[in-house]
Amino acid sequence: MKQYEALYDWPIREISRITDSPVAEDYCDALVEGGDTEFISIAEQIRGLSAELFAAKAAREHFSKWSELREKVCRFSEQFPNFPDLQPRKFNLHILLSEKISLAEFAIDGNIDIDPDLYEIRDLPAPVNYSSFFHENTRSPIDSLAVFSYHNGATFDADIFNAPAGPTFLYNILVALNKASEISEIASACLKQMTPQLKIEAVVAFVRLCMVAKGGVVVPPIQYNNPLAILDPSVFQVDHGYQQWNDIILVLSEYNSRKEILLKYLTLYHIFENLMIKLPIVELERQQGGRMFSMRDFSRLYSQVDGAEPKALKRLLVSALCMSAKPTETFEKVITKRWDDLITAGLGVELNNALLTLGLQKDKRPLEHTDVKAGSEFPGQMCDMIYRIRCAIVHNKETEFHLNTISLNNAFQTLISNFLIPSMEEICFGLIGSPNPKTWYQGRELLLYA
Amino acid sequence: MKTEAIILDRRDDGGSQCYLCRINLSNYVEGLPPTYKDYDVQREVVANVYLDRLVDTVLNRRHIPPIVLVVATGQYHIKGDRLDIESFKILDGLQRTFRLQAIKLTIDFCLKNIRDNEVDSLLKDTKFKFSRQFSSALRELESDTNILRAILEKRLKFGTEALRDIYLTSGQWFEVWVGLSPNEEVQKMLTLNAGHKPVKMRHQLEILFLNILPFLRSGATSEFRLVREKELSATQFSKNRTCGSFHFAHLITAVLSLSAGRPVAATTGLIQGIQENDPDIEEYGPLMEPGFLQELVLFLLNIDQLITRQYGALGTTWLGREVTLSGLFGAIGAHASHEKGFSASMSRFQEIISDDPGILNLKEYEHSRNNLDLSKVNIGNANRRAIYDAMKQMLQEPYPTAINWLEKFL
Repeated sequence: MKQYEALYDWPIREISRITDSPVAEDYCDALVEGGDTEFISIAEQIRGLSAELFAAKAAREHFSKWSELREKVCRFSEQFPNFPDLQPRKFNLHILLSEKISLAEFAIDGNIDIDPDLYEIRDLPAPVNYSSFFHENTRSPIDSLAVFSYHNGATFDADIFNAPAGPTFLYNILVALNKASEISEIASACLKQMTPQLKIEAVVAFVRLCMVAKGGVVVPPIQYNNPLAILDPSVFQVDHGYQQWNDIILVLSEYNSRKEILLKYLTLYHIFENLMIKLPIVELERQQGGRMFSMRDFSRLYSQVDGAEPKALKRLLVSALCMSAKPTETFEKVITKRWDDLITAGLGVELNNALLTLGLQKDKRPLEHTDVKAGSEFPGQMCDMIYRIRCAIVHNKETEFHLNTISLNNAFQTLISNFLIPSMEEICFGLIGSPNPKTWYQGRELLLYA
Repeated sequence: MKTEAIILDRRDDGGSQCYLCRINLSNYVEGLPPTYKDYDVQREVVANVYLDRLVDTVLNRRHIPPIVLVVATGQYHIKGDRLDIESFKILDGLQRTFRLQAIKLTIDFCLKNIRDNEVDSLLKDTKFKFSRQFSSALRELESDTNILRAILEKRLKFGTEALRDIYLTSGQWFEVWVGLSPNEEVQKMLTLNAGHKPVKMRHQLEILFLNILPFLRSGATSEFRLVREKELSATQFSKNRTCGSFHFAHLITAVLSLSAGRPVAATTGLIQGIQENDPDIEEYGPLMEPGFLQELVLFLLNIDQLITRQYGALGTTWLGREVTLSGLFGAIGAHASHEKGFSASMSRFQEIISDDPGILNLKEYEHSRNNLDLSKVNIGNANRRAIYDAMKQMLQEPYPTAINWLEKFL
């Protein structure tokens, strides 16, 4: 196929079909009074442009009224959407690509033959979370790809207009488009035609690879935008001496700057790690009451901080949960009430699903939401939830459940957004906001020798 | 052809006069200036229910709102209550005029090509069949078969003579303004547009340019030649361009870029959605002054000559591209926001290339441009951006040096 045929043959044919064929005549004659007048008016305008398409093809020159044609074809499609076998998206895309070639001043070369069997258009099964793009493989052009994200309606035209693409590939896409029927209203891809046809899973994987190589994301990140859960900000007082929390305050600042839920969770856990280590240091420091630290003291301290992380986390939670969160309530009371409220709101099933996936157990059976309540077991249960979520995000082993944007289902969103994050925020701000004997140093210095 | 108007009323408006006149439709349409058909703005014929049914208004002799004309000094003569006009410009009512002419031509076509005894059978045809028979002929007249059909229905009902008489005996009201300076013409156009459905900035600039074209072609800018889309498409223009000629679409893009202080891409239907938030035309301030536009044209002519002299055909082609004017005027506009104004920046640019025409280094430009990896960059945007960056840097530096295009295209 020649370049001028790729540009003009299909539009000319389609215009003839919708404005000057027996199908068009039957359709027009069936329209009510007024409708047929409108049809004739727009059909004649489009037919007029078709004559100019013919002339441009004959002269092997670019047609200069693509945008006018597009406007009229759009109007036709909107006014007569039930015209038989209408292909408005295909037409729109054809015009966009043709005008892109024209505006870039790529001259029409009548000597070049385009193989019509190189590429094909494939409809994609789901939206592509990215604007339309062209991925040209300059060393192996047959492995080039174009993706048309029709679901990005508002920016579709501009995306096509602005995305870089060379003339050879654009003509090949036009030829492939000529062969196709109406393209998907979701997304389509133009890629190598193979026999047997490439499986759709392979197409989607290739599209995703090219998309992430352009900086796109397959699944948009899930954001956590709830306001900070701080139980009693009035405990922040000028003379408390917060400089011992400088590092944590900076981490909290980073926490606030992050919006993606899993990243926020890890940042919050980072603060808990700090608190886990500070807890035994504070205990020892307070015990010494300013007296000199001996080697034995350091050895004891080391044994407290070095050890299984879940153990340290549980120790922290045991200390924190029994502390006063509000004048009349402990953290445990506030947090277990939150859990109960979620159950009351009908989210028990979701929570159970999350607990089951995490593998939490009680008495050799899966832990259920009814098992989680105030009492001696609660710190351990909360510790397990916090730690296992952390591991599920950080680890990516084949043998372990991995939590990412795709696997972050409703169950986990409920557990993390509605329970863990607000509870952990409350503990964080509670422990650092108001001096307490568990996590606040009593003195500035450790005495190493007398 | 002389247009004969009957004066119904007059008023003095400062240094100008306005005559409320009646002109019969036939005389008006036949007196349309020959350049009228060249107006690119008519390509902007928009879907408008009122305008589409103007044929019914005309055939039933109903009222059409007054059309506003401007007549230059020496192009009219008043005798009693007669105002004879040699030539005029249409300030408001271009779309109506376009349709009025199309209807007249269709009536003439009908009377010439369809016999009385054919009317009834033709009207019995389906609209589609009717359309197939007559649409290509009517397309030449920029009319359509709906209009012809309405005319035939009138002819069937009232007879051929009644049809023939319509334009000859229907009077239309006009406001005819005389004694307006070019600036006053522009202001009047803006006033007439105010309150209407907003028209795209590009469209308004096109009307403005065409209205002041005679003014632009006078004096120092007499060598200026405007090439319209009808003659040669914007995309093909640069290849065979001659020094002093500029494409209409490119000129409009240049003015829009100047105002924006950045390169503006060619307006196409592709990106209409993005440009729908045109600022009000009043915000274009000095750009709308005919005096300024003449200065802009003079600037273009001067640098065109300098560049052609230095680079030959390469230079002439370069200045004939939309990306060049867009990038260049975007840079001038950006520079002007920190300087005394557009005029000062244009003078500065002209001074720089006058002192050293080789500074543009166009051979390297062409080489760099031709070596772009089209799979990675949008060629239009890349060119606009490179030229914009280069020109802006040139204007900002106290001692500019030859442009390094390799760097600009990185």
